[in-house]
Amino acid sequence: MIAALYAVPAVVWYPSLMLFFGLDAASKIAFGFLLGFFPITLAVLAGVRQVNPQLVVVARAYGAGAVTVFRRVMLPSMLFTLVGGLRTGLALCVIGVVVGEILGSKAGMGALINHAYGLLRTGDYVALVLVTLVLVVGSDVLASLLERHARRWTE
Amino acid sequence: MKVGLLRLGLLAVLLAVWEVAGRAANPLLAVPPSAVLPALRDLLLLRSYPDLPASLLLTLREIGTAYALAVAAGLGCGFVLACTGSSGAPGGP
Repeated sequence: MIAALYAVPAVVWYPSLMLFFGLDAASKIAFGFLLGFFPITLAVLAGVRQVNPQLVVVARAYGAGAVTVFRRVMLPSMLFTLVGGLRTGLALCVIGVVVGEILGSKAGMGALINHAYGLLRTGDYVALVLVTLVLVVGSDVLASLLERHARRWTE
Repeated sequence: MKVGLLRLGLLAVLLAVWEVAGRAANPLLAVPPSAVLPALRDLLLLRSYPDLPASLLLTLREIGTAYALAVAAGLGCGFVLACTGSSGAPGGP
């Protein structure tokens, strides 16, 4: 069901979100949340499926508790998929918030971009897009550092 | 080294194409990089949009909140679905 919901283009929910939460930050947060939630959930499910059940059985047989099994067996097995999902979720959250601001907002980078574009101030518009691009690339660099750290930990 | 040079070359070609295309196009719809640089300078010096830092901060705050909520709900929902075995059920994810 979650995969089916993920397939629905998220932008179709945005008018409802604006009606429920208004033009302030809440509707953008809700839209970013909606875009970021599904890849993270699906990554957790895919990660849990990757765990070898025999390793869990062996760990239990050696007397490991639920927390130890999770920390020492499950987490290292699923971490790479999980971090990939978290990275995708971050990218989609950024997209959701900025797109939400462009579609309807009173403040934020998307609102400034919309303002410049609406007044045909194309130079300002491109400059604002470049600043937003730096923001997006910065968040992706942070996520890739986290992913590299996780890869080193699982190796 | 070779890859770095290739990237720089590609960037230079892209900028050159943008410059030529931007000069040829309607200035209301497209601008060349040479016109973007002064606009970027004005933007960063807060001349064209004095509320840029506040807007940037607001967007960052919204992204942070949305991501924190998505991580909390996504991890929680994912682990609950995985542990209850509903993920493999017909009609499940």
